[in-house]
Amino acid sequence: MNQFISWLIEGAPVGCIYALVAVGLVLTYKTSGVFNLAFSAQAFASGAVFYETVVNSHWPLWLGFVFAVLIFSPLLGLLLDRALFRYMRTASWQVKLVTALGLLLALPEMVKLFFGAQPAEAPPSIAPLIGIDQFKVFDVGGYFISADRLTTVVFTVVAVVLLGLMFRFTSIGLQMRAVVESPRMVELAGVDADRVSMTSWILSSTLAGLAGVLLAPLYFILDGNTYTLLIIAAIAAAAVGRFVSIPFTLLGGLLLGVGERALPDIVGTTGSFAQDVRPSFPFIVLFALLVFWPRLREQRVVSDPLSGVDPPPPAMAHEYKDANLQRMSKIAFPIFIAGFVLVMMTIVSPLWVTRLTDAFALAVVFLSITIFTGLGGQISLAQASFAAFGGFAMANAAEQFNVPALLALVIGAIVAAIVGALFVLFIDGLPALIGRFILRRPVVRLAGLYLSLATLAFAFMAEKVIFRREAISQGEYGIAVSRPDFAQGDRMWFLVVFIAFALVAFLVIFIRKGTIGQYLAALRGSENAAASIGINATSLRIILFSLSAGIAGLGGALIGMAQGRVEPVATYPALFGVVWVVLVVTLGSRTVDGAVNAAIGFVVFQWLFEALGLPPAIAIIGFGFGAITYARHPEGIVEFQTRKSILATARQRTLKKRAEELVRVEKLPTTYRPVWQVVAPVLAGPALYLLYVLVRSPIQGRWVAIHTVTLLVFLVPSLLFALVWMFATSHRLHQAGGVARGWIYLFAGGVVGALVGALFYNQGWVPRAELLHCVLAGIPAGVASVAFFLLPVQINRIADNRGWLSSPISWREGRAPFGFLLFGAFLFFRTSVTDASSSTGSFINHGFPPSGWPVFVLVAIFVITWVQWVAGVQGASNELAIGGEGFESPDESVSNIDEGPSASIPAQIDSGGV
Amino acid sequence: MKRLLVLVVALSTIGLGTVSTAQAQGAGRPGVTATEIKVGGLSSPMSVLNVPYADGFDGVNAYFDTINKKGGVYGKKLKLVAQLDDLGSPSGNIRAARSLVEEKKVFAVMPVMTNSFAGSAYLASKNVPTFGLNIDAGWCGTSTEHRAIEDAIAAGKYDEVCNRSTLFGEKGSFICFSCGQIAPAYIALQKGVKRAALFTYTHSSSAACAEGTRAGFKQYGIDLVYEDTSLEFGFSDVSADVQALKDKKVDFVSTCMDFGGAFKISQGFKQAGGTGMTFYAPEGYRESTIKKYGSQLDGWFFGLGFVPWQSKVLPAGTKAYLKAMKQKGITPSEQSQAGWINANMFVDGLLKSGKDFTQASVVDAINSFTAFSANGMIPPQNWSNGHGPDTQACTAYVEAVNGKFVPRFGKPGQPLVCFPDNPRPPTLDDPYYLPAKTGTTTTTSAGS
Repeated sequence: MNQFISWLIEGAPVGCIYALVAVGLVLTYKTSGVFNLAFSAQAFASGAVFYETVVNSHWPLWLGFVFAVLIFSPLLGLLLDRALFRYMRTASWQVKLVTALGLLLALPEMVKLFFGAQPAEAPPSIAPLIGIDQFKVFDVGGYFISADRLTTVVFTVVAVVLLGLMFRFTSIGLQMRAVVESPRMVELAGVDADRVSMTSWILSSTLAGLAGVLLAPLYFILDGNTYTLLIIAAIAAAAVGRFVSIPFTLLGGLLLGVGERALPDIVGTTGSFAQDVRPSFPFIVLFALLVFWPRLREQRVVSDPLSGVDPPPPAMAHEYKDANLQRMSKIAFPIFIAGFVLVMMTIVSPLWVTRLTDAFALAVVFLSITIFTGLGGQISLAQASFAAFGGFAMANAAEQFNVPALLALVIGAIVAAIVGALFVLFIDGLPALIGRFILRRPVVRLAGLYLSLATLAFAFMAEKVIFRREAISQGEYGIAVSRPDFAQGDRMWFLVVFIAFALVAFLVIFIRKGTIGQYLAALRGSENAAASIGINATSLRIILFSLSAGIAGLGGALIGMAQGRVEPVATYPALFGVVWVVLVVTLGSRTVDGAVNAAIGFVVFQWLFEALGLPPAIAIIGFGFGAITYARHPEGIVEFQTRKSILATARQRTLKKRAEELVRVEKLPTTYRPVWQVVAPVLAGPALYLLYVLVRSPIQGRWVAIHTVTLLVFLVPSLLFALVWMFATSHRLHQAGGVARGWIYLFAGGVVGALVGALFYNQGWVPRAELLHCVLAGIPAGVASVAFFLLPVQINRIADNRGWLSSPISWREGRAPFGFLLFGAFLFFRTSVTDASSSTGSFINHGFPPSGWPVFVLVAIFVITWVQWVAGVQGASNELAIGGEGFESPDESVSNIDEGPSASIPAQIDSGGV
Repeated sequence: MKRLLVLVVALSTIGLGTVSTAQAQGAGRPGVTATEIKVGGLSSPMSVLNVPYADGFDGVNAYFDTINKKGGVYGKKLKLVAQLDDLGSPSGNIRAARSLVEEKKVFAVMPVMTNSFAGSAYLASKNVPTFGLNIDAGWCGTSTEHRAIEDAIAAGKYDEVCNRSTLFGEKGSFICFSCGQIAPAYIALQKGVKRAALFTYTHSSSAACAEGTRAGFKQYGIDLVYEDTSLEFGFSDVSADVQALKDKKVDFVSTCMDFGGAFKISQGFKQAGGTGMTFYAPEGYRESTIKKYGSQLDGWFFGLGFVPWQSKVLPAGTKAYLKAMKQKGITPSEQSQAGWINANMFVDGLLKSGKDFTQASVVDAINSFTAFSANGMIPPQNWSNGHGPDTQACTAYVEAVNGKFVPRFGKPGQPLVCFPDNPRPPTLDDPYYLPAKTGTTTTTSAGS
């Protein structure tokens, strides 16, 4: 009994923190349907703000607490709800989960970016706020409890009491309780669900903030990684309350804290069992609850009741290609692949061969996500662990049993596939047995959100229990592995990896198009309906898991072999499983393209940011926030852009035919101008300049800089043409009913740009530049910034005036080029403030302008974006001139495209068009 | 697919351009121009193990500044042109190492301040002079090769050598992780403590340190009465451990953790009313730490592989390092000092190999040093023994007393307490002390 009291007293404080975060989790889950895995990140952000204000800015303790917990945290919750999650009420659980995962990755990195990456030691305690000396120790009936721990309990009790009072005595509390109980009923009763959701976000974020501040002194250091794992414990606590009951969630948190305290007394503090169980206790609890507690998995996943009637996702982009384009692709693709391999095998630098090889090895792992998520409709957060199984199996086979390297790769894939199959048998088979022999009723399969949580728990368990075993990883420095003898060189190794990737890619395409793909699609739609037509869900799940795990295992084996050694934890961190999923689903989980782009992006962006002297964290932040786009484009950005591009090409081709027809009948409006006539002059200058840089730099032996002659010869004519085109187009659009006096806005943009240029000069942000240079650069930048949004808005307005239901272009098209302008300005700013010798790094040559490949790549991407925008605006403008409402809308099948121009020449052409 | 095509073509073009823009370099002298010698380094982010790895860049830059102020080496300025981050991952480490050699075209790589040195095989294969913080088996060879040397030592064979003769750690190329550690045992013996406890993380490097500590205790007769080897980085609850320390009447705690972890145990013990405990931590000797925690660190010992900055008589190297740090307004740290020592060794190698130095000649020059000590900062290192196991084990000890680090157990002007190593003595009764009283032991003078 004494021991139990000791566990209770000593374990309760940590349990209280788990409970606080878990309650927030349940609140938002039930009121908004978002299972917010980013709560731990919010807790970390609040802890960091508290530390910054109190320790670094020397605010009074109470003020820092009020700001961090009662102002910053609620505002963060409000921001997340207003800016993000309120728009996802009707979204699927996958969308909500991926968005939350993105935030889980991005928020801590943003905090580090603001407050520094160095973990802060000894964060302050808030014990003095309740009149307790921070270092005081209390003797509670012979049990010692420190001030920090007592404070944690006191604040938790106060928070819970306040929460209880709010639930009991306020109308919003009543509504929240009601929503937790039955969201449908509450909505039917006319309750403002948005308001309830917003309140719960504010409330839960405040709880997360309080937990973050309370936890910091207990952890001793304020470190994002440590906080990240807090969420698993909170999920386990919430699982005790079946993600519904707040009192049971509180109890779950406390039990978890007490359990953690009791563990060393029960399992000891040494030996492999203790080393396995203690660090992974929350993961084990969560996994066990999800697997062995049937009532938990029978819980309905919170989602909008009408989400089932959402339109299905758009068809694959390649299906939008017309016959001509498909024929061209069939011819061009093999030629491109052959050319690519040839170039890689001969003239690409070895370092870039290695980088791209790493990317293709990673792409193999990503294809496992394509299978699991893109085809299976489920989200696994354990793909890094399956990759690790493959890697360690390969390494052990090659080094312990002298298996030839290529065979070892295959063994890696097979072992991972077996683990995948065992995993699904464990999570499906054991509960089924429990249901059959103990409960005497069938048990629902683990799927959807709960399956994702189980894979998350499994990933961390595997990292902490399995891969650290000497028998598997052979100790601290892992296992040294060699590539096949014939592939010791970078290029041959690339060939091996590329062939492996190609084989897996064909397998994925084959499966997607084959019977299994159709079965999986049926299963994705409705498991019951699929069963009714004879699809065996059990065997399909085993195939899905083992196939996906096997592919991840092969990728993991390739990654390990590329590195030359396979290390526990460092080579395949469990958290990578989250990063990878976010990346792949954001870019496109249904296609091979999406996986390749995600892998190349993962490798190249890290290089790009490092080479530009920017913190690598920016890449993670970008990937994390990129996940938000998943809500808008569940098919992935790559798929969306590809489809958009195909449809735009088709529309322009149809417009061209129509224009030719009108020329024949001599009715082509003078406002019509073929896109190439605008794009060519705009593109010519920058393209020639980039070519000049490519040719001239090797001759000079260094990167050539911009100087007056090159500016005059290459860039200025194109720039002048573009400016004239912007003003002329704005004028034409105004005449056709667009925004009046658009030229004033453009002119104002130029003035502001000039002023900003002067500011840059004044602040010394552009080294070695004259005032005139800065102003002259600022003027076109300012005009263009306004034009990026103004011209699409004008087109939009004309379409509205004509009663069109959709506009050929929207203001959103301006975001990408404008973003690049801002980024370019930021880079100039950084060049001047970054000291070449400082530890933050800098540009390669520390010269002006910032030189080297990273800048070349950025400029090239900007030029492409800029030209795309110009082409988009001119195309939309042409559509106003000779197109019409419903003119080959992007979401319509391309089958209409070939109908020819005579189908419907809109009436406005006769009236002059634009 | 079209976008993929564009992306891949763009990347291929980059690679192509990298080839075409490659500057012709003199044989074995990449990164050397008429006016400069370019080097580059890589570090892990601090978040990996809460160790400020990037401080190493400060040390290298500070040493280069002192040399450049004197006109550089053979009229060429030394320049740290790249400071890459390996993101704490082996693949990032390899990529960064390759980038330094193939893109940045550096003459030497320094400092390598990373928790994992997966890029070591590549750098060794390219014969690039490489300097850094030796905390990874890769400085000596593959994990298999490193393990083989440890096994040989356990079997009483001490003449094994490392296979990577171009890699130079600040404390040698080979570290025996599983050999008995002298420092914790020596502190325990000097303090006359009887009952020891050991705390480690489940992390494998921490576990290896624990193995060495345990072996040292056993060899020198320290009674290890309690162990917790199941803690996780970032643990929050030490109640069970504190209770055990009290129950088992432990009077000495040795840790294989970062400072934060060790401090949590110490605080927990004190908060539970515990007194009179001696703590040993392998990491945490920082001015910022003692300034922050002051007398809360009383009773703490740290073991150092170099002359403590608080020694009354400082060797020339330490004086110069501390002066340079002060001038730059940087708080000294073990990592920045390691960078300084790396740079010192590199410059000494350049000077010894002559005006027509090449990468190979610099490596050969350093490998001929028999007693490099960075002007007395560290125990003399013999680089002519094939980078194999050292023949002496030296440690300087400092104790935290009233908010100050105080050197312990050494002699005035000789804070390094040394014992023969490989083989080790049966007892720790008969140490000798360094630096040697007469002259310095360095082979060449920096910047001379």
